[in-house]
Amino acid sequence: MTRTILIVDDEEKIRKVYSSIFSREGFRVLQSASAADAKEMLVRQDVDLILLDINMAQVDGTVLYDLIRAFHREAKVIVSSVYPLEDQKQLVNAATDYYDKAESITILIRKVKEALCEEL
Amino acid sequence: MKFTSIRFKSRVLYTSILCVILVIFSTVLFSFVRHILYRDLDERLRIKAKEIAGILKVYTEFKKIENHPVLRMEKFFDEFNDEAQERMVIDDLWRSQVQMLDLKNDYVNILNPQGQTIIISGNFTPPAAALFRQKVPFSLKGEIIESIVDENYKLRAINLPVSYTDLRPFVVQVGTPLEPVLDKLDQLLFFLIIVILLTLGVTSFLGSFFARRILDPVMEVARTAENISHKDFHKRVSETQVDEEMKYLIHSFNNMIERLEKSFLHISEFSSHVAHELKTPLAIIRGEMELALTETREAGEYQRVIQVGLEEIDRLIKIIRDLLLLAKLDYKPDIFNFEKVDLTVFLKNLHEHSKILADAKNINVELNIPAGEICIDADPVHLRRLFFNLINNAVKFTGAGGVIGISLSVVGETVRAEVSDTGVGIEAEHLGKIFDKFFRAHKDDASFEPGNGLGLSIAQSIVKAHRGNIAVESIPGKGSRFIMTFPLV
Repeated sequence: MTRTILIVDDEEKIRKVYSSIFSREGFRVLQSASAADAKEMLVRQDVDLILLDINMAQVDGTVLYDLIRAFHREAKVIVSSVYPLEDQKQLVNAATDYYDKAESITILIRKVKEALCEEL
Repeated sequence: MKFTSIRFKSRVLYTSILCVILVIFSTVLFSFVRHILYRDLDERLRIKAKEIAGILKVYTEFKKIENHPVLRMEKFFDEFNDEAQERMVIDDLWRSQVQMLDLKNDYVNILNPQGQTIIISGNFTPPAAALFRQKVPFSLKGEIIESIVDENYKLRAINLPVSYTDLRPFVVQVGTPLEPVLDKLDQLLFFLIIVILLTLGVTSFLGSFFARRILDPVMEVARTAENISHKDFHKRVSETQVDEEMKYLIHSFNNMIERLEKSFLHISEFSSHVAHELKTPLAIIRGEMELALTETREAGEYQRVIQVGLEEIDRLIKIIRDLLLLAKLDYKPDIFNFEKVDLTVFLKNLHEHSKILADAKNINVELNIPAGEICIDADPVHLRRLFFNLINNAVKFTGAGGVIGISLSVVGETVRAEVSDTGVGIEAEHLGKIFDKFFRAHKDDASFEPGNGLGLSIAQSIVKAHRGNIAVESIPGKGSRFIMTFPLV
């Protein structure tokens, strides 16, 4: 069964490269450039995992996180940011996992797979 | 006790001042008392001398006049009719009168007009006589009062010439002991010295307490200052129960800490912003490159990845350069070289260069400046950068066929320059943040070339360094207008 990943990030190039990475790994990838966009996407689509940037310029990603948790409790959320992991955990303390964007993409792939494999 | 301390100095100062005051006061008091005591003594002396003179007069007169009242009294003693007895009665009378004068300890010397002693008191021994001759001048002219002080005698003596009608003149000299007066003065002096010393001692001691109490807030401020570090800006010094002048110190101190705290937070936020901005391009580069290496790709794909890498590297370099400039602008304004700049000439130049940029997108650039010279104090290099940032934004956010306007006017003592466009405009909610560092109003919109969000921040810093102001007006969908004001020169 193909899993769907939603990438929420306001940086276009980040969305593009992550999208390539996950497509290559066999996932179906959706992209949102803003929290508003993401909200809309989530209403229309079923999503297995959300890769959420909490440092978006316009809207605070933590707000969106709370929203996701309220309406899509089953979805896994990996919080991503350029901030160090400890700082991310302080901002959002119950996410499935955390990813520092400056780290290697192999770590990202592993974390995504682990988050989804828990179900299998 | 430190000799350079305020406590020591204030103690010494107050004690010295008090000491001087007390000494002056004591001296005045002492002189006054001494004056009074002597005056009273002299008065008693004078009275004694006059009384003696009076008695002598009576006695002498009596010897001459038959009908003297005392003689009449004698009639009562008729049965005696003895001259010796008569003399005894007279002498007794005289003696009793003299006794009333209480001349027990006094020295009496009565002299004739030639200066020879005719009557003396029992204690008027030769040493005393010699002393009198030496110290108390014989004078027929007027009253003289002198002190006689040597190791054996302490007297206050008067020389009183007496002349009654019908009598030859004579001089009465009386010396009365000075000891009572001197003793009283000694006691007073002793008392004053004790009081002064005690007072100084107590004041010095108390003064130390007061000095410490006053200085307590200062020590408090110092202790708090010691404990403040970048880890803890929350301490403040309490302003309750503090004297007025100290309140000012403490208030200023607390305000200073507050400002430091704010500055520190500002810098922290800025640093974390910077980290964020720098890490994102790096994350992109890494992502692309790692992905590219996972399998063999076509040459074109590798080229694309390298291209992305270079773009992001350029972005990093630009961010770093802009940040350095901002840092310099904010903290070291002496990188500016001010000179008189004629804005009409400057903007004409700018207009020419802007046209080159704008032509690529088919945008018109209009120039609206008055004739004549309009000068401001400016650094041409930074001024150019300021306007170029604005023009760049205008070009970036205006579609083909749009219009960019550059205008200049003078209102009173202020020069007003405007850069306007017919571009996408700025949402009202973003207007307040537009000059913030790293703020990008149109970050999500891919149709616009990405920037790093520092351009307007730099523009604002430059305007401020030129003692000017910058403001923005915008209608979303219609366009924006940036208004700068500078003081006219």
